[in-house]
Amino acid sequence: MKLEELYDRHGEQMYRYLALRLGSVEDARDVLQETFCRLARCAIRRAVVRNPGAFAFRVLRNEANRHLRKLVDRRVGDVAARDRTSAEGALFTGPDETAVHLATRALAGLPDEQREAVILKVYQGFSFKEIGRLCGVSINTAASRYRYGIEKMRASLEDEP
Amino acid sequence: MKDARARDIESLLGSVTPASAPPGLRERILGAAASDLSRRAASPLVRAGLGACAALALFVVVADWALGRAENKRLAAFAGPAIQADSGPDDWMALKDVFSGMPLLAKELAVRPEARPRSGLRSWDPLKEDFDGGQNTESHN
Repeated sequence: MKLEELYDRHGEQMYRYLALRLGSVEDARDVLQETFCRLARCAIRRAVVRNPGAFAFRVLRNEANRHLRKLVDRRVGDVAARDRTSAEGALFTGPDETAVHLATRALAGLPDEQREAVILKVYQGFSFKEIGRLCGVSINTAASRYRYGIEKMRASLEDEP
Repeated sequence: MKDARARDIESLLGSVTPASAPPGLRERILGAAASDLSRRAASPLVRAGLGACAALALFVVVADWALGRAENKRLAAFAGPAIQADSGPDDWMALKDVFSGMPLLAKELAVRPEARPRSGLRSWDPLKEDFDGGQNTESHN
């Protein structure tokens, strides 16, 4: 599959995943660019894999993890706190401003693993099996992460004034 | 109850959509990927050099095979038809002889105790034991 074709099929989905996971549209752009540079370099592997979309998503996830590790190493601070201040409103669109605000805050308050499971399940439409395979965990772990994430979001919304 | 509350959250998340990619991102990303690839790719000169090396290696292999074959033919013509260029079957026969003799040797070792290696002998270290007046030690080699 050509790089252009890969972008046309999965680019939008990948961008949304990155924006929600990293909590910043600027970081999402940079990481997506780095991902496609990496995909361009491994053209042979891309040509022989059975599912280029899944392969691209795995590369994307690795790049996102690398970026998050870099942020932690640089001691930029709590990623979730940064999300709440800088990217609020930019990550979601919707007719109801309150819903956008609540969803952004609730998602930003989750630990990274749970946030990833919620994003993949709700916005990417992945099954728990696919989430488990992508994250390298069992189906039960993926389902637990999602369930705990949902519970935590519910609790945070109940505490909301 | 728990499921119903979870569904509320899911409906809240479902009521908002993640922001889509900004316009022009596709061109930016694909352009960056293409320029990164061209920067990393080998220059035409390096590529030509690699091709020449590969062709030379191939030539050496083919030439070695062709020269060996011609030499074998010449030897066969010189010595007559009795000597074959390919001595494969003879080698096989020799190997067969060796392997067919091994069970006999093992049987002999099992029957004759004196044919077995003697146990309890002190190991011999030529460096420690100056048995020939230092004429045959490692230092003289």
